[in-house]
Amino acid sequence: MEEKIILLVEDNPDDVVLTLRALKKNNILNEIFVAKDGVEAMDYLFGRRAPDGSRLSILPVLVLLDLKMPRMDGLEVLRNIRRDERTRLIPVVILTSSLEEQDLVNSYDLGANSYVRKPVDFNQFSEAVRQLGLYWLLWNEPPPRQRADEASER
Amino acid sequence: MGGVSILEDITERRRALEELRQSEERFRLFAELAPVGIVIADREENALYVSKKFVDLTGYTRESIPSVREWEELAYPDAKLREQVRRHWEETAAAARQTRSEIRPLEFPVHCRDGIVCQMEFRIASDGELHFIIIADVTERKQAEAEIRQLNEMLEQRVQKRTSQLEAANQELEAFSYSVSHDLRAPLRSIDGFSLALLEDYSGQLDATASHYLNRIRTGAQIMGMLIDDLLKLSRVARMELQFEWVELSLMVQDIMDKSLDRGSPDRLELIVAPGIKARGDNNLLRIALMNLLNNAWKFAAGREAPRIEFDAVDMDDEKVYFIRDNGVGFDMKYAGKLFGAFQRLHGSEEFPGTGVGLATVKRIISRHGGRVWAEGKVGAGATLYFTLP
Repeated sequence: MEEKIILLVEDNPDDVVLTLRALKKNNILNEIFVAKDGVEAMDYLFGRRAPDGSRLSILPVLVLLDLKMPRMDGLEVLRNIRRDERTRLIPVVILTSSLEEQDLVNSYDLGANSYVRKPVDFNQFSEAVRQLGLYWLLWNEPPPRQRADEASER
Repeated sequence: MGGVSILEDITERRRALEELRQSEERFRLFAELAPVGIVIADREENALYVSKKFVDLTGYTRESIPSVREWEELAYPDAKLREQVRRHWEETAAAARQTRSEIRPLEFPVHCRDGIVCQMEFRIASDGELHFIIIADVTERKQAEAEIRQLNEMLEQRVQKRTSQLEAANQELEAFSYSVSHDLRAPLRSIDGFSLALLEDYSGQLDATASHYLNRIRTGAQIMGMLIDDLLKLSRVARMELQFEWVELSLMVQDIMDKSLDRGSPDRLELIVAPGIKARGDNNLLRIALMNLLNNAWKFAAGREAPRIEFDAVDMDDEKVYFIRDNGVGFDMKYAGKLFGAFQRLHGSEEFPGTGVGLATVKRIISRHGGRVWAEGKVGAGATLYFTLP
């Protein structure tokens, strides 16, 4: 069975724990790779190579992306994902605390698929994660390019 | 007979001469009394007449300036300026000769005899034969004008400085609200999330009191989250740029009541909206203001037997005053002043939930439109919120 990896890019360790908890609570049992900032996310997506140059990481089926992070922020990560042929069609959901209009505009401008503001109430957050998982992992049909891409990576 | 006629002739001539002398005397007196210096020069620019006032103004007598040439040497010692004056002068004099009317005044700095430089204004007229030159000292006027200009420039600079200070403050505020929205909410999520994790994962080890405390912690975190959100909304209202247009307030009120308000059982509410009320203002902001006002009205009226909300406008002292009236629990007029402060609440939050930012937001929106907002009420007898939009 092909692995459907979720890439969670989040610098706040509490938020990482809570997000993982929410995913688990909602029976989303996909493998999750956690990147602690944009640089780690880039490294996961593009950096890891075997000696023969082939990719070591499995491309994620979904990226959950925080915006405000040290070293490289979420917008920069999004820009890089959309710029690269191999990753440009991966669904990216912005998962952030910010409701600044500029963040929303920039995110959609750069091709974010969704923008979710993390609620303070964990029950609400959990529900948001449940619906996100359900939608992007179950109901949504991923772009064919990505499938082909994934197949060729294998 | 002939002798008589000669005699008459002579008498006639003498009388004519006398009249001429008198007339000339009158004009001389007139010229001397004028508060400006007057010079009459012939076509060759010889000074025929120099008034006393001219001598007072410049210090130069007719003897010292027999012609315009000598005058120029004295008045404009700087050769370059003299050349410039000369050119202007010739052009103006030629024009004066042609049109025989007064020509646009010229202004030059004149070196007076006592060494002081005065700003003089020259007017010139001509009858074709003679030039009539009128000069006035405008030094003081010029100084006053320069002072005003300088003051204006200073004011302009001060405004610019203040503006840039304001812009800096605004940017700071922007950065502040950004980090508030981002950084302050994150720990609240931890507090709420891990409290819930304890409740869920360790329920067996927690007694009822411990669970109760954890629930209170969660409630506190959630309320603080709401406070932060409302505070951000308030600051956003202050920063938003106004776009003025005609806004159909009556339709807006109806629309808000129809769609946006969560008002339980709407059938019980008697909503009275006066039709066709319009105002000039920012559509988005006025909608936010009306939403807050209607939300409040409904919040306090909902518990009544027959809740009623009314929207209308009246003319008070040549001013249109809009109002929203409810028959809710009302308030004590003693606290009317506190109503519009941020986080001010007149009722317990268990009785009527809210963070106390709604009316502060309304006030900010109305103030930004240049209007006023005030409230009238009575405990148990409803409240009326008034506002103006000039």
